[in-house]
Amino acid sequence: MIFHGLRSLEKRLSVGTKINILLAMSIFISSLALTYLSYQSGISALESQLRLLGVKSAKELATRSAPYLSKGDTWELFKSVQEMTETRNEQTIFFSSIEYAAILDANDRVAAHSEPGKFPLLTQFDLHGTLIAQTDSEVSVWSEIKPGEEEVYHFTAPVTMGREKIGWAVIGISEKWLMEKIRESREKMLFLSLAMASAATIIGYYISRRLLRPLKTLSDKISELPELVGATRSPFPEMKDEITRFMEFYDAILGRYGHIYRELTVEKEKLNNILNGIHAGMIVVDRKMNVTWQNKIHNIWFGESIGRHCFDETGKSTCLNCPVEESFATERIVTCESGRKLAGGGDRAFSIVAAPLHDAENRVIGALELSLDITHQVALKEDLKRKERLALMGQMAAGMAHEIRNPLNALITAMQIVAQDSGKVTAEQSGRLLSIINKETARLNATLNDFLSFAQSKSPRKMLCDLNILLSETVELLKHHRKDGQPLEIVSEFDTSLPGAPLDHDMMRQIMWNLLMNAIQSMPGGGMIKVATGTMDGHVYFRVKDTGTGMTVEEMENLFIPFYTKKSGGLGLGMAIVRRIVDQHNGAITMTSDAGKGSEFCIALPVSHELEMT
Amino acid sequence: MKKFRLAFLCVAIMAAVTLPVVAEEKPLVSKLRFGLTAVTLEKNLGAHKRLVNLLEDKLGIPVEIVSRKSYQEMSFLLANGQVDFAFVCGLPYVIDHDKFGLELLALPVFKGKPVYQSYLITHKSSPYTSLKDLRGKTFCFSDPFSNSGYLAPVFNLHKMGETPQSFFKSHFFSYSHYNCIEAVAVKLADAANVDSYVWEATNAKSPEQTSQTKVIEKSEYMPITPIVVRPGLPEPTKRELRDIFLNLGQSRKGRLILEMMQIDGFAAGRDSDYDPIRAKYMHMSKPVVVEKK
Repeated sequence: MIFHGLRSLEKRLSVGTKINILLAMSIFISSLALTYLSYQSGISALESQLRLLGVKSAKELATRSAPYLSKGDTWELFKSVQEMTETRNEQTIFFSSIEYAAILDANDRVAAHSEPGKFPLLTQFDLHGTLIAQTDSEVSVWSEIKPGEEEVYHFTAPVTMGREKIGWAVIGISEKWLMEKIRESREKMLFLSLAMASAATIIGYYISRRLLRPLKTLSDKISELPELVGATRSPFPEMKDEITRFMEFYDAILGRYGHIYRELTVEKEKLNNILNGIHAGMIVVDRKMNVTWQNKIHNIWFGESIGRHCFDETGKSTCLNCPVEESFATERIVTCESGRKLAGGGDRAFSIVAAPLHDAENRVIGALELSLDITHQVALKEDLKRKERLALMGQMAAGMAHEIRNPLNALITAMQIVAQDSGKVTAEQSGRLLSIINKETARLNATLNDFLSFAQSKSPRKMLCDLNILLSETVELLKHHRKDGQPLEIVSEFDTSLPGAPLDHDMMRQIMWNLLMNAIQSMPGGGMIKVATGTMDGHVYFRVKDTGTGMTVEEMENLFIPFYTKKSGGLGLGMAIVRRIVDQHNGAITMTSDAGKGSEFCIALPVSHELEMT
Repeated sequence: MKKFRLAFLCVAIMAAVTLPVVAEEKPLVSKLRFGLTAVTLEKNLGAHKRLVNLLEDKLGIPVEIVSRKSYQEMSFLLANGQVDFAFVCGLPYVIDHDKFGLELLALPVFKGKPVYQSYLITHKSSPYTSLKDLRGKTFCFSDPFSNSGYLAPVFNLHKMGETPQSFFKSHFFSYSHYNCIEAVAVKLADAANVDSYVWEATNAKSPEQTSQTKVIEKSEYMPITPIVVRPGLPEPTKRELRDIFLNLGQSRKGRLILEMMQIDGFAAGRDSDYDPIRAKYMHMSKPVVVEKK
């Protein structure tokens, strides 16, 4: 029954209370143990104290009583024993255990006793009892057991005068005092341990409350969600402590959110399937370029990469123009195209997209690298380019034919005149004809040169150039070449802090020449040309602005189409060449034009483009 | 004595030469020593100190208390002039008067007369009714030279043809009537003979000490414990001292002292007053010897 009651009580208590009870009990038990130990040592200490007291007192009494005993001074002897028991007892509590003191004469008869009524003078004093110890070969300790009374120890010391033994000093010490002391100390210690246990209970209560405050808070929080806790059956419905509550809570959480977990698992599976199904290689790298995740296609293409650097199969360091690095630097999505060897062999072209991945605090912690196989597209593009070039060639051939035919006709006509009327042709006439032939031949040559320079698709030979120098040289050249009488003002605004840029300087001169010539041609009546240089967004640029005729929208749209021209002379290749050179330098052309007011061209060229080694 | 007189003469001449104007009488002695024994008066030291103060005031010289345990020691001091006046028992007075001329100074008046008795006391629970019942018991004497505490009982035993050794199992001296009362009270001794003055005074002052005892026999009246002076004390000093004692009741301070001592006053006495004691002492066939155990 008691056990059952305790069990049911235990089920109701909180963990804190249990810990507290445990603490108090352990302190109580340990203090009881301590009490017992100190009790034991206390007893032996008290016993030895008692022994010491008896020995000392007996010796003292013997010494003091010796002269009186030798004189037979009964009164002084009586005073001595009385003092031993009374006066000394008043002085220290330790002497309160002296039950009696006595002086015996040489024949063991009472010469003085502290209880003279019980032990009249000269009565035979019987030291009946057992000898327990002999200390200093002088003082003997006897125990006397009186029926119905407590044990009394005699301590006897001989009274000597000179060398003669004239009697005995006897001290009787009762254990009553010792027992009282022991009981007193036991009660004290029991009380002390009870007090300690109560103190421990209180302190333990506060400590456990302090320690278990988070537990309690959590438990209370859970209690505030009754619909959650009540939702499931507790495995221990009769238990009421916090741990049971947590178990209920955990159960409820499992019940409620278990299906979410399952859904999540399904979703994850789905997502994995999608990611693995996409025909693109995907990896996730951290800031140190370690691959932390890889989809199936990437694995098939490039082999197992997780745990390795993404560049391990290509080299010892990161790739040239690595999009991932750039995305780390710019924190933007970076794309590039690159050819890579597949793990199974064979070169493929890839479009690579690197997208930075952010953590919750928006710091870049890694990047997603997406590799799309664009080998087919590249081939298609090459094919298209070839076809376009063929079409262009056809167009050009038509233009060429047209351009060549006119001077050729003139030449033929001049030749025929010379051939038919060789006799009639005056020196003056033949001179004119020859000059025509000469001129038309030169025109043909120029046309062919233009064509060749367009057709010869040279790749630029880039080296560090200063745009300021190139432009100023070209402007200087232009000043000598200009049409006589055309009033022309050239204004230069050079940015002196312009950095050097990797450019093909011949090509640059050509662009500048073409643009300046166009500007001059657009200002038949003269005008102002403004040239300027500058930097912008990692680019250097130069501008050419004229106050000429300007262009219509249609003209601007067709400006860069080869052989499209509104001018009487020229192939219409100038701006096409400009366009191609700028493209080859990854530059950009911007233009503004108002018909009748003039045009402005701006050519921007990147500074950071690495030099091409020759 | 010759030397003393010569000294006195010298002092007198010196005084006459140096202090002719001061006609005042110079004290004959520079100080007095007052002997007390423990036998009768040990518990009354307060009264004795007051008495000494009074004497000093009246005499104009310092008075010193010299206390000894026994009458024998006090007799020795009186005989040697180391004590000038003292309380002693009748028996030592008689012996010393006859031996070296001890003189009576004054007798205390107790209950109207300068006499007292010897009380035979036992424990209050004891069945004894007379000295005869005490055969084989333990007996406490106060002082071997005490009249009431030794001579009286020994004389009674003598009349019975006994001695303390033959009659008692054991006997001892406590050197004080108070101690005798206490010894009987704690049953150290079965009986004792004590000074009636001491017993009555103790009974009046602190009855708890006497309540454990009872008086079973009272002796005839005997001359009381006197104040004695040593032989050779200058007569004027002796006279002056005696006057102070006899007139103690005249002053307020004196009355207080008498009250504390529980006596009526002091009276002058004659040596013949002590003849009964002398007779008893002479009657004893052999001189009293202090018995040792």
